Amino acid sequence: MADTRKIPFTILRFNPETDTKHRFDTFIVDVLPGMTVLEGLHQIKARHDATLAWRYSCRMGVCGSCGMLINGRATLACNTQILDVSPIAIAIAPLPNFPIIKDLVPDLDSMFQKHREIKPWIIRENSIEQNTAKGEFYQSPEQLVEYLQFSYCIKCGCCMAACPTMATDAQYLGPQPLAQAYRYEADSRDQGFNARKPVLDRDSGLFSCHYGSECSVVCPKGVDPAKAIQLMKRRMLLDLFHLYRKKNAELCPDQGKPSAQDGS
Amino acid sequence: MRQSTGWTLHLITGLALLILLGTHMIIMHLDDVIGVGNINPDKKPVDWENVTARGKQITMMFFYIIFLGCALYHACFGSRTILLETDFGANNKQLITAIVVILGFGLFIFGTAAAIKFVDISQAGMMVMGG
Ligand code: SF4
Ligand code: SF4
Ligand code: FES
Repeated sequence: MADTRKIPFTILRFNPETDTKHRFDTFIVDVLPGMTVLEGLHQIKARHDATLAWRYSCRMGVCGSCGMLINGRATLACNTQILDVSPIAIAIAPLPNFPIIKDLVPDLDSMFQKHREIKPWIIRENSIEQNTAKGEFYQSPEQLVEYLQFSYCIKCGCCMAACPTMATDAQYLGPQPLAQAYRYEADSRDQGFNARKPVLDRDSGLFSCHYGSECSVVCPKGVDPAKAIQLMKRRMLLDLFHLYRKKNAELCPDQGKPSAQDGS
Repeated sequence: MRQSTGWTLHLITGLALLILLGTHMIIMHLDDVIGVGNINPDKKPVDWENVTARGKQITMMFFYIIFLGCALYHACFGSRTILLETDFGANNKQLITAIVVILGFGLFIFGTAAAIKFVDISQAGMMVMGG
């Protein structure tokens, strides 16, 4: 086809079960305008090497599975058009700062573990009220906007791969968990500040972020983890000076009463 | 110490250093350039008479002790942060912290003793010079 270009894909290959060190394989891919890196990988698997491994699922930037390092930038393969990256050559490696399971498949376990540590769920001081809910919490559109951007995280790990602090300190919590800590902190329904504080305020925690913002530059969902982290730092400082106040959502005033839809 | 406390003190001492270092620069190095007030009447801040005249003032002694404390805290906390991000530091957090704390306190005690001693030296020097 006239519009087809032949572009070399150089891919890092490594199987920890059989290899002692990684190598690079190059494959020529027939690239059409609009083709994504993920489609290029599929072509390589179909035509050249069926053993090439990577992770994907949704093909539309929703599941967060296909994060990889494409020409030096951590991003989603399904969301990246080849010709937008380079019309000359593509180099692909697994996300840095994670162990490799095989080829382009990173082991994201450490990120999920740290994510769990920050308790990524709504915490209420009154657990009885939370576990036996009798109504809904009113949240205004303004209160929703406070955390909405940060709730778009798909846990792709690109921010963790781009973070220079992660590269030097494997124990650092990292932008994904820290941004999610703020996502819940900024939620008017949440009262979990004190429950998350010990995790955030430890060594290699919140204050190890140097605000280089690489995480925000690469985030494919516009979450802006660096901003979330700085806002979380502000809340921690207010707490340090006993100035921390949070106006929490209340149960809807009409909760418990029959609604119009009940027809009663 | 909580990480937030250490970090906040790092910020505060950083801001304090701007003022203290600025004051030091004005007194010691910029007086004859910008000529603020009449700090060194002859515009020779490092002449022995001017050094001893400042040295015997208790306010200057406290100024330098506070300056030293802020500079040491800022430098030690900053160095510790950098060191903890190396592979060695990440695996030896307590050792790094202990070295930094001992070094910081040691230098602070040494510097403070020197500043206090200098008040005596300056007063003695002034007496000698005064006949
Ligand atoms: S914050 Fe962005 S880059 Fe990081 S895991 Fe979430 S979606 Fe991916
Ligand atoms: S802003 Fe913080 S979390 Fe984001 S890349 Fe920089 S150090 Fe990492
Ligand atoms: S395949 Fe789901 S985000 Fe790329």
